[in-house]
Amino acid sequence: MNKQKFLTFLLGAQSTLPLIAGMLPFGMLYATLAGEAGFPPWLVIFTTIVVFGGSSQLVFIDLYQTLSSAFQAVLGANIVNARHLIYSAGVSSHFSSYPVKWRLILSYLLSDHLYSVSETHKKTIDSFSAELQPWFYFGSGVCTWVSWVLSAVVGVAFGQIIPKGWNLEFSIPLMFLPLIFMTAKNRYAYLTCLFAGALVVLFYKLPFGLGVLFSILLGSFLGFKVQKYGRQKK
Amino acid sequence: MSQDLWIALCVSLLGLITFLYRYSFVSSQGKKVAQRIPPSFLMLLGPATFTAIVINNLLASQKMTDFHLKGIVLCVSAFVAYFTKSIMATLAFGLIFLYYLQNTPF
Repeated sequence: MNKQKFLTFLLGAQSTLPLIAGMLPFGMLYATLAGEAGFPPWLVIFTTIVVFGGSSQLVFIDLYQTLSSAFQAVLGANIVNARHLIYSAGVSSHFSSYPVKWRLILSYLLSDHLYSVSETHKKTIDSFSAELQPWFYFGSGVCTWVSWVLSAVVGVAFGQIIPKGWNLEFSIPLMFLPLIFMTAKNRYAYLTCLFAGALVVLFYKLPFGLGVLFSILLGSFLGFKVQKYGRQKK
Repeated sequence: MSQDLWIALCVSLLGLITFLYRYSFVSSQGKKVAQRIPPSFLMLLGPATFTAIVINNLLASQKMTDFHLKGIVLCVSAFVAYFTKSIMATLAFGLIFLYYLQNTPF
């Protein structure tokens, strides 16, 4: 790795650091719940490494406890993870032009955080050459991966001693709140947010978190249609 | 087969399918499909995704009192988020404000 690649890697990691603060309590919460569900420490860490998907891991634990079937829990958690299809489509224009090695590595690392960074740092990423771009994403992905695994390890070791009154699980919505304003570039994007928000409430009762997926797709579609109509009118 | 090993196998299946989701549009075949999606639609996916995650988390509050308090905190934090565009500032403000509301008798 030459100096330029290393600096790009560090820049990717640095751009992800603000997101990490919200992830640590989430990882610890997951590890604590998994421990309460009877998972031995090695299985808690194994799941974190193999799945590398925050909310789906929590859903997996929740469903495993309520359904008492690991296989059924996998089916439910997979539906939650279907939003990664959206992320995949979002980063496709960049990732798909990279060599296969990079595509495989970055696909594994593609999480909420990497997607957020790809959306909020578009200009920075586009300013890099095609050879350097994967290093930026790699830095962001590795930063997220290390933090996520570490938070699970800390959760396994110390999860029980964090006071519930600190509401650390509330870090997730708070963390994503500024990202809305960082990625919404025009009034149609804000309108899309309103559509998506209203649809989440409407579809909330759907099982396995399907409501979130439908809301994102339908909300974006409605926003897209209004945008198209609005621009045609001009 | 022990129960832990069976769970580990199921987890591996979950990991594999998750990876395939992530790789779907990045692969050579998937790229062709992704290219047919209008860029202006893709631009809206980010804000929609983040909004859906925020609202879904709020709705997941176990108690009604929690729901109300968290709703208030999210609304006020939205202003902080809008003006600062800072994750750390929003996170710190939101958590402290929620702690304050939960521990203040009204």
